Amino acid sequence: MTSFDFEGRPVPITPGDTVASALYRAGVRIFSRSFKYHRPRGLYCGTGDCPNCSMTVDGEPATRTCVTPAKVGQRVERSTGWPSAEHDLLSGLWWFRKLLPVGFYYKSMIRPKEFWPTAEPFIRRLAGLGKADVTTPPADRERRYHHPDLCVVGAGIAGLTAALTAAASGSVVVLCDEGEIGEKIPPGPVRNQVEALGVEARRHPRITVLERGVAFGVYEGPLVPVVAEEALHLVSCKRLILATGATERHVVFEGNDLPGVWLGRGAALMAGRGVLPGRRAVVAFEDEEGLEHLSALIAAGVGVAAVVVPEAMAVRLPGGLPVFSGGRVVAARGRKAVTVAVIESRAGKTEVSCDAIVVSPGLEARASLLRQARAASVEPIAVGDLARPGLSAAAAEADARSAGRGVAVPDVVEPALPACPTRGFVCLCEDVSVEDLDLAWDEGFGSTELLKRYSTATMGPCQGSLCHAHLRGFVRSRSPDLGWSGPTTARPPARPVRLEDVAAGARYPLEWRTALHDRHLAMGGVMEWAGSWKRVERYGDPAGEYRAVRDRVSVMDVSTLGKYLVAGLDATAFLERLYPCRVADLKPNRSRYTLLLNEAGYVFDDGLVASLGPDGYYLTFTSGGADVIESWLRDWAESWGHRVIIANQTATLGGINLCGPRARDVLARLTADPVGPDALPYGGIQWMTVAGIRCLVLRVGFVGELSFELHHPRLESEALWNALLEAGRDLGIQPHGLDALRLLRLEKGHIIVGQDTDFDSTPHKLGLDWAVKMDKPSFVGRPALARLATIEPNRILRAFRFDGGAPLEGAQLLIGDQRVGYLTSSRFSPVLGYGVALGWIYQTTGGWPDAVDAVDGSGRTFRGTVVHGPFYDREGAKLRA
Amino acid sequence: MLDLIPSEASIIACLADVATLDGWTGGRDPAPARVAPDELWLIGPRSERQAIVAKARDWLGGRGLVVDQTDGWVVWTVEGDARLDVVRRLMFAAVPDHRPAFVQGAITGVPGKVLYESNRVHLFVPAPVGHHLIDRLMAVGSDLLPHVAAPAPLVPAGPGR
Repeated sequence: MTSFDFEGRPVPITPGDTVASALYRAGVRIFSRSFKYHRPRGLYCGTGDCPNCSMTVDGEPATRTCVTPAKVGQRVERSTGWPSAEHDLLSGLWWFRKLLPVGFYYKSMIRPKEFWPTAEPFIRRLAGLGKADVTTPPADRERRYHHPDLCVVGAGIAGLTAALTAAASGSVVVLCDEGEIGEKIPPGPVRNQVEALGVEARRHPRITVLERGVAFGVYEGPLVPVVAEEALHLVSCKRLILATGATERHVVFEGNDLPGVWLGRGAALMAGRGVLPGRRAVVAFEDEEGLEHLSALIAAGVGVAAVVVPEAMAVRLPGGLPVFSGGRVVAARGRKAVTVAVIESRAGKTEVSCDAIVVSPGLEARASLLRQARAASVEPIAVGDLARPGLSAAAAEADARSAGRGVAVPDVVEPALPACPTRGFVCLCEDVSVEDLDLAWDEGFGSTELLKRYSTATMGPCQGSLCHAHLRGFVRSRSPDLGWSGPTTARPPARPVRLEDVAAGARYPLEWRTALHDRHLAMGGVMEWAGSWKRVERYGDPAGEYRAVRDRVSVMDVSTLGKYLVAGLDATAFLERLYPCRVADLKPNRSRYTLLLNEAGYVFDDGLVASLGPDGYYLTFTSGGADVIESWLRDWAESWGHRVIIANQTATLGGINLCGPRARDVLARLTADPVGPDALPYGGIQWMTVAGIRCLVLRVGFVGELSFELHHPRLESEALWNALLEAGRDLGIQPHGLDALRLLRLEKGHIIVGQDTDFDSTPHKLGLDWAVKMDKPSFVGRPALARLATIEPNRILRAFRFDGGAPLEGAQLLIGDQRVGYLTSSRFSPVLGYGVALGWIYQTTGGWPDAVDAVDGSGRTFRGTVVHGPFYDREGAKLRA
Repeated sequence: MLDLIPSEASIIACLADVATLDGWTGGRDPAPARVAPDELWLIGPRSERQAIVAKARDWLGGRGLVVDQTDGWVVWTVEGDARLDVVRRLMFAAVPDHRPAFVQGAITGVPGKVLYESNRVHLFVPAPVGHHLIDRLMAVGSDLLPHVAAPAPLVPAGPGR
């Protein structure tokens, strides 16, 4: 026998079953426990519009089992209830409901504050909709992009007709529906018609049909994301037709949430699958569809305990039924399920014994996507029951044909708001009752938006599908001002969506690699993330790599640096106005260090500006800043109207830093061009041919040794790297990674922007006043720096020496018990024999401290003193060699 | 069938003001592609790299800058009946109706460019993420029987080709 597993026992499956119908047939009546009071909840809407049937299916919580096809081997369990949904001890909370009124958590979950860290995990276990399985890797779904002329959401009569009409006139159409076509419609002529149209649509060459495709939002464009089983479909369309139909209006009366209370469609669908929603039912309805449901129930063998209808409808009922003409159901009674319906009629209140109450109170448009679309300034065409709930099939077809041809259709008609109820649950998702709304109203939350936020009604998994109209009806009954009872803002997702679906097609690491990436791996390089890039942290021996730089010669892949060409008539004026350093006096083939400031005068990057003479300027930036620099440059150029040409060379050029006392020797072996200090002094820049490769060579000094940065065509990186290693082999050349670099630059006191700086670091705070020429008339950030110059900073970045070793980065700086700062960078220097660090220090009553204690995460304390200037090669003799 | 060909292209950027670039007179050999109002790409086979640079410099003279961007881009050419299908899976921007066509936008999450010709599509992504493009092509096209061919020069379709 085919079956699935339900909490350890097999549940047989009949063809056409949903998970819920199979469970109901197997005798399951309590499908979930409510969010707050843990009240028993059973099947209700049968169309995926309410939260009652939510269970965990194959590890996925919050699955709407009434619209989930039953499959052999599924694992199904109820997500709520302790110790079980059937016997939930927490249902006792209902008796303490006076202590748990609406918004109680805002008022009570405050004191004592020491209590909450203990209480919070417990409260979290009581609430919630199940437990997400965090051990199973998410499915690797893809994205699919569609650009049809028309997107139609909803494959009922209206949606199918619109899609087929548009396709017949040559339009390319994407049609989606959250179920299989026709499955949500009870058996009958309408379903037969829909299924026939569905066959036609599936065969049509210009229609893409996405069944079981949940359109969960409408964005500007319009763009409609549709989650299907195999992929996330992003549908960017020229026109949008919404045919999401209508659900039956939620009924609110005392006991309306008891298992056994059904909406008519749900009960009729169940009967159509050969499952009796009850043996003896009270059936109440007000429209034609309700009459069809009654017939379906009788035909399936459901006994009718009473029929409650308007007087006009009573004459159309089959004979022999107990009829309450002009009456209404006002209460359902029972402990875990309905046992009695209370009917109010002219004769007064009558209690009728039953095990099901089936109510068809009229239709409510499924308008969440429509409201989202309007909020996104999208003007979709609404057709069918969405536009006019209760529309006849013929009228829906006529409107849909017009919509499919792009012809105007009648305006949307919103049904009258429901009358304000006096008892019962308005929001099944969040356990919000009429009494709760009364209390919130009395507390001053006097509009739908305020009530929504305070009570959380409409904010549960169904996103107001059922309760939105009732919330508005409640406010309308209390406030004559129509503005207060307007619809709330609808936002995606309209239906529950898995995060893995939203992330479909993006669940892969996008790493930027230099041309030497594979070469580094072959050399044993351990890679780490540096912004979007992968860079070498170490080749296995960071101490040896460090020594190679200080004692011999080394290479490092610096291809990740931002690299730009700036040329054009206004290039000099542009850079002079952009940078805080001087640019106009920069001689050809010379470079200068520069900070990058924003308008607030804060440092957000640094780099070099080099003059190429008549060819313009060559700019470099940090690896982390390379991404954003282009727009920064272009924005300012456009703002000032400067005639400049900006070419991003970051991906085009590779970079290798050749450094160490013997670097010049290695370079000289590979080039015929002069490399001496006269030809290429510190700060100089020259075109050279190195190992047969044309390179732009920059004399720089981040690591504090003689250094040549060789910028070259990316495709030549490996040849150049190999040539340098070969040429330096007898000199003990060894590549170094970021680990060694961080110590090397720290010994020189060089900052790393982002590590040693904060969002509000000014040049003055960083001790870099020398890099800012305030006598320039204008540069980005200058006005702010001029103002800040009148204010003494509360903290500054300082260099520290620690003779007892190196504290861990992040160590707190103390004077006595007073915290006066923290370290941003800290290492032990092998060549100096003491710890070197940078850190922020606050001004104290005694001025800027000269000596501090550093206490790090290991609990150790280090005595440190402030050092002015670099630790290593203080005169810069090695750098300028 | 889906053939994926690593293409060896020259990409020469001409940077100048709008009016100057509007006056491109070189026809479709090399293939021009306007990537911005102030930037025009000239695309041809790798073997003609220097010739394209020379042609661009001759044309621009002192009115702009010619920058060889060849090394900065990786190009994969997609051929076969499913070529447009696989592009649609990678890229949000719509497939244009006319050929040749040049489209810019995110390709599998990275900034890219597409040159559509009548029976093939050339995908351009920055070289540092070139490995990513072929990984994604193979992943999203796995049901389309992708086949990686040997590298070939990118010779744009045009007069005389």
